[in-house]
Amino acid sequence: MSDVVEELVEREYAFGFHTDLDTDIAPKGLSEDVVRLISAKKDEPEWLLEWRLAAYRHFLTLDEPDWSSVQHPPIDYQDMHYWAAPKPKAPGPDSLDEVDPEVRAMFDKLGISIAEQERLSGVAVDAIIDSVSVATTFKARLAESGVIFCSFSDAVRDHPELVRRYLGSVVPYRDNFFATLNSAVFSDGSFAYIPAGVTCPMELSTYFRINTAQTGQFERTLIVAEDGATVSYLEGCTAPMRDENQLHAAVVELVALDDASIKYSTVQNWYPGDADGKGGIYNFVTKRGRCGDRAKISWTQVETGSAITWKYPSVILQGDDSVGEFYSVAVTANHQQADTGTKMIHIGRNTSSTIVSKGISAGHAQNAYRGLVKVLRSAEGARSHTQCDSLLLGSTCGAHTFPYIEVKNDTAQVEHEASTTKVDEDQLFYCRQRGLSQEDATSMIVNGFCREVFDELPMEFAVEAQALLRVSLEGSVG
Amino acid sequence: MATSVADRIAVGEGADAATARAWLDANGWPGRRDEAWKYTPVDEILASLEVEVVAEELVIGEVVAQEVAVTSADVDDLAGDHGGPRIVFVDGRHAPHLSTSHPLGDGAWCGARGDGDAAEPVEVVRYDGFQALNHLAAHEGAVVEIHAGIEVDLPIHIVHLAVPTASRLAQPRTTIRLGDAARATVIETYTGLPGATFVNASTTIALGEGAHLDHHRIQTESAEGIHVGHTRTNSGADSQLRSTSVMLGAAIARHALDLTLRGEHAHANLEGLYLPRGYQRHDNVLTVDHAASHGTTVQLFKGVIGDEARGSFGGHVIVRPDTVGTSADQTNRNLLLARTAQADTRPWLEIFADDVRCTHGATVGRLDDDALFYLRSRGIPRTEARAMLITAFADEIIDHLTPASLRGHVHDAVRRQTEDDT
Repeated sequence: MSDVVEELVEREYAFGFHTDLDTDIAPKGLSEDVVRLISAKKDEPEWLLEWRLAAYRHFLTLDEPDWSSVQHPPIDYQDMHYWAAPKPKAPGPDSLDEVDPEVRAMFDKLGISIAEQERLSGVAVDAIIDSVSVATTFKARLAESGVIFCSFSDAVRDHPELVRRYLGSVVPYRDNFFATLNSAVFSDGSFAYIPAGVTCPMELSTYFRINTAQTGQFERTLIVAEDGATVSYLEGCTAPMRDENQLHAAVVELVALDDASIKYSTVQNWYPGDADGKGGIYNFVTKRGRCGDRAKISWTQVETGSAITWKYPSVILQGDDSVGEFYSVAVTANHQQADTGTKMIHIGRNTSSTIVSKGISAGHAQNAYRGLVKVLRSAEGARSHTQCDSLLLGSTCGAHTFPYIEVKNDTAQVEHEASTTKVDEDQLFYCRQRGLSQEDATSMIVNGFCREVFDELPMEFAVEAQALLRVSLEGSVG
Repeated sequence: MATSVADRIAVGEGADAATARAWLDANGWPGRRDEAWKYTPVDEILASLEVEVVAEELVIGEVVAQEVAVTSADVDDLAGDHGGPRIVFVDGRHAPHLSTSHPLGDGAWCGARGDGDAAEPVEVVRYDGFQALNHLAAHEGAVVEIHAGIEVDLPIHIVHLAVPTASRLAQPRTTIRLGDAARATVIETYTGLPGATFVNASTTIALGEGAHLDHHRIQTESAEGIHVGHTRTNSGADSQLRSTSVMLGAAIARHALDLTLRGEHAHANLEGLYLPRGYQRHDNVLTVDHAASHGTTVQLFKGVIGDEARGSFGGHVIVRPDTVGTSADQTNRNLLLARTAQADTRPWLEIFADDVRCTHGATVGRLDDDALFYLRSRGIPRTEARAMLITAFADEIIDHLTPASLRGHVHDAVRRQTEDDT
């Protein structure tokens, strides 16, 4: 096993490359002027500028949190750029053909060319390079059914009333250190609005891509599903190799009104740093959804990238009979650190939540699950089940489980179970006895370990996730 | 705050007291932001410590009138007589007139001793202000010392009794040392007369190679009192520890059990039962540190929570790097008996080695409706059916108490505590 672990430790980041794009960059540092600059660059209305400034002023009163189990050198928030935009070489593209060829080439390298997506998969892609949406597809088809899917900036311009109503309604700007920072300086992101009773005709997808050196990315995503609406949203990311640590503090807000259903899937594969853990993305994300009556929010995530992942997709089960789900595979190798999990806050009657978390740790990585299930006094008949397993590959890595369960209602039924093991010798022996190589056998077992979560992913992502798992643990599990 | 209470108590003269004092001055008291104290109302404890604990420089051995008023019959009633030697302490001071002695044979000793030769040296790992406050005080501590190879059959019973009228801090300290291959059963009972008491207890246990200890800790103090307790255990190679903690008393009770497996192939079985009622707050904090290879630990803690009470469990299993063959199981089950009852559970695993098999499970729920229905369909009245189910839930822990007289004593106490819930 030790040989294969060594191979793993030496693996290279398969998507590490850097496309040269002319970028429009704000000076380093965070100040009220920078906040005003960002807002002005984006022609934002007065209320949004005020909101950003309120967040910025609140940010000044906050200290960086230190309770998570991750270790990193202090971040200098004055030593980074808070705004970068690709300069359009021609006035705004109307169709894919007009998109910057370099941008398209980059997507081709990633194997997710927009053209291919458009032709083959029928997935609408709102591609983000650094902070500005470059191309948005399938708008017309979505518009037919009344679905709005656009960049956050466009939404502010075209649908200010919707943005104003829901922005900060789930994650207020005072929520936490990183959410507050994001609220002050968020650059762009995605906005989706599904009107009442509409089932979104296709899966919505955004590919994030961090491209400019030393640029913090502050995405803001807002998805609103009106009464009885249904939507599935895919988010995936890769980033080029970089020596400087890059901070990413995104905020995702989901609003599922009565009877609505939102499925949010993420494949995260940002640059994890080199074999010594140098460089790599710091991924400090706030993701939260709020459910109305009978609404359902489902988070599925496959986390293989980033030097540090620090995120807890949560669901506030406010409506009666609402449902929250969290399915996660977190893979850490080399010197990666992950502190991830979920929060399920049961408020409404007969609410239920399901948590399935699979952590895989290899090399010198540290992988922690941190989760909270809270049943408030009003949550009559709440039901929650957590299954949380960790797999250890190699003797120098760590796997940690930090669950919190707080129950204030006797009709609630809450269960939590967890295990931490290495790959079972008996299972390995059984597979090898059938003629499989050590690597193939381990790969099979690890894949089986993650199956429960992969099954929740939409088809497009399921394939990518398995490929990612294979690449991430190359050498250690085949 | 950190110094004011510390300045008002009689301070010990040993090295421990100096270590504890330095630690307390440097680190102060735990707060609500300290993870290990998250579910303990530590603000209330500290407020009570500040306001109610009267400055009294008490001389060791001095006995105040109220303490004299305690009779052997009171102790029998509160703690039971389990057939072996019973060493009684009132507010942390030895009470020979209430104690009974039985010959334990050569190589075994139990009784009261002053600071110097009584205590295990203080370790400031996972230390806190309350442990420091205990360790800096002058003591007449309870000591159980069993030399290598000696097996003691009689259960050794240490009773720490708190008396409210003294209105001061009681800081009992207990040391249990088992040499290589020694074997003993030790019962620690924390109990008290009705009224507001404040107990800050510290127990240190050291197990030699192949030693075998059954340790039972029963806490039935006054429902108006505050109880903060720490039990720190170091297990040697091949040693076996069976530990049971039953928490019934005090308005606010916290017991922290800190076990380090220092030698290979050590085994520990940690069980606990807590039954808060009324507005009681019960908090159990366990840390199991697998510092050596091939250790096996099994934790089973159960909460039966009624009325407006809140019961909490925090388990923390640590598996150190470069250890192999660790097996750790952690289970916490909670039964909520009233709409307003609250349960918190926090079963943590922190693992830095790959050759492990660790599991944890936690549940919170109320009595099973199907089971109730089944019993009632057999003609058993509702209250009786509920009592049966609660007893069955609690008995899983109580049944492991030894000797039988202790089992009976705890059984009765648990029945009294849960009577109103059915």
